[in-house]
Amino acid sequence: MGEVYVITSGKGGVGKTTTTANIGAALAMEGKKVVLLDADIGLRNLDVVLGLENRIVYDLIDVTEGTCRLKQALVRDKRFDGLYLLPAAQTRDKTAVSPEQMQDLCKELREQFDYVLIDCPAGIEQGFKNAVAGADKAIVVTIPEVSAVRDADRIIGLLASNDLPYPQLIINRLRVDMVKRGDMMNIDDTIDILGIDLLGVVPDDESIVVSTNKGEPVVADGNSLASKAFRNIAKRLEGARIPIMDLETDDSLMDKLKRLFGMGKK
Amino acid sequence: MKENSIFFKGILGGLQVHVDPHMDLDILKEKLKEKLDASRKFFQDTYVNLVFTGRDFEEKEKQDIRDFVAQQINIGKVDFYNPVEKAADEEKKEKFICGTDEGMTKFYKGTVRNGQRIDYEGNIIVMGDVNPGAEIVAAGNIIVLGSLRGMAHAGVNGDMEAVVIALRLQPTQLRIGNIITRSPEDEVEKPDYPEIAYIKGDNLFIEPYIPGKIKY
Repeated sequence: MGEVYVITSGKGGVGKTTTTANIGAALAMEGKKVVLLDADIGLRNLDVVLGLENRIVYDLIDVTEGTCRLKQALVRDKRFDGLYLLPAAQTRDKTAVSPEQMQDLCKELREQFDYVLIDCPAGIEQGFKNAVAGADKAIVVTIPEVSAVRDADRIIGLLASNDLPYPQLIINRLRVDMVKRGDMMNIDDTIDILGIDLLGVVPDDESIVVSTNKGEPVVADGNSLASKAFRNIAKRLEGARIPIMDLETDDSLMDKLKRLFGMGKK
Repeated sequence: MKENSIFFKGILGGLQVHVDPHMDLDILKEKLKEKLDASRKFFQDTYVNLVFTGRDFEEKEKQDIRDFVAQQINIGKVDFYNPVEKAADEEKKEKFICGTDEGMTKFYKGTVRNGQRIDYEGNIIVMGDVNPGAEIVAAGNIIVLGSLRGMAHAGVNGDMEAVVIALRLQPTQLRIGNIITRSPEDEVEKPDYPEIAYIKGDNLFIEPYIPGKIKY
């Protein structure tokens, strides 16, 4: 029996879809069977981020309306074994599906997969209600900006009233240099306001933009910091105790070597 | 109380008209007109809610008064409380809100988040934080055992004796009785000790909360 996670934020543009795609891909790399469910009906993106847009035949609404079987609508990822996408319908809107239908769908999916990750649309209306209806757990994505944190706070309150009282937090797009200058909220400030457990911190990374445009999750490329952050998050979901990456050190390799040989500044 | 007396009291969003139990309807209208004339400028361009208390009105009389008032000013809602209901009401009030020193208190355990509102006809104690965008509205005092970063309104029915205490008092807006204040625009050092807000004269004061040194 798999677990159903909803990935939500309230505010748009903080990286829900990218986060969903990358955690899903990272879990698949761990050998898990994962399905990503795009609940953003009418504004679907998850397929684009995964580079699977041209493989969609049926979508979520076709399944709930009985036009096709669930298995027919699932798109298998081209890179990661065990990763599937259930795309949103693009020509319909949020009212085309009901929370009850989403619950039934999640029930069916969890029997076949280890993880069901739901990419929630921005906002707190019907789309949000649909996305959270079938979830057992929630992940709240925010960026270290006051407005995004406000919306995250609102969402955490709404999740609690939807029987999802203990969401986990991902702080996305953290810029260490700005935090150091005091121009950006730091991790502690953010957690202080939201008061929920931290699942991971993803640094702001150009490689995300590049990989998103190319339609392949950044975790496929092993080197970037963001990629490592997402893989750590996947491992934490699996129950591993991995400390939050120390992003605060901006030491170059040279500094590290110097320190190793006792020549460093510290 | 002398026969045929009538008095007016400003209440939240309107006017309370207390009339003698045996007052004659014509005299009531006359007095009412006097009062409304005197404050005509004040009532201009707004809708005024009227609450009549003290006397039992018959349906016909109620309609009569409604029509009469409607000729004078823009009226909003007109309500009548008969003496029996009113007595019960008053008793209830006395029982629940005896000023801010005694009375019912609501305890809220947990963080009050953006978009949430706690309303209570008494004191409120929050065992957690109050985040920006959250609202705490109490007839009595408000105590936050955590950080108060949202909006708090103590003494909402007009009680200027009410106070707000928080371990970290950093509200976006603070209201006590009918006084509204906001936090300073410029960055000020945020104190890391408990503070208390109270009203003295026409001003809202905030100072460190020091147990035993209560002068408010």
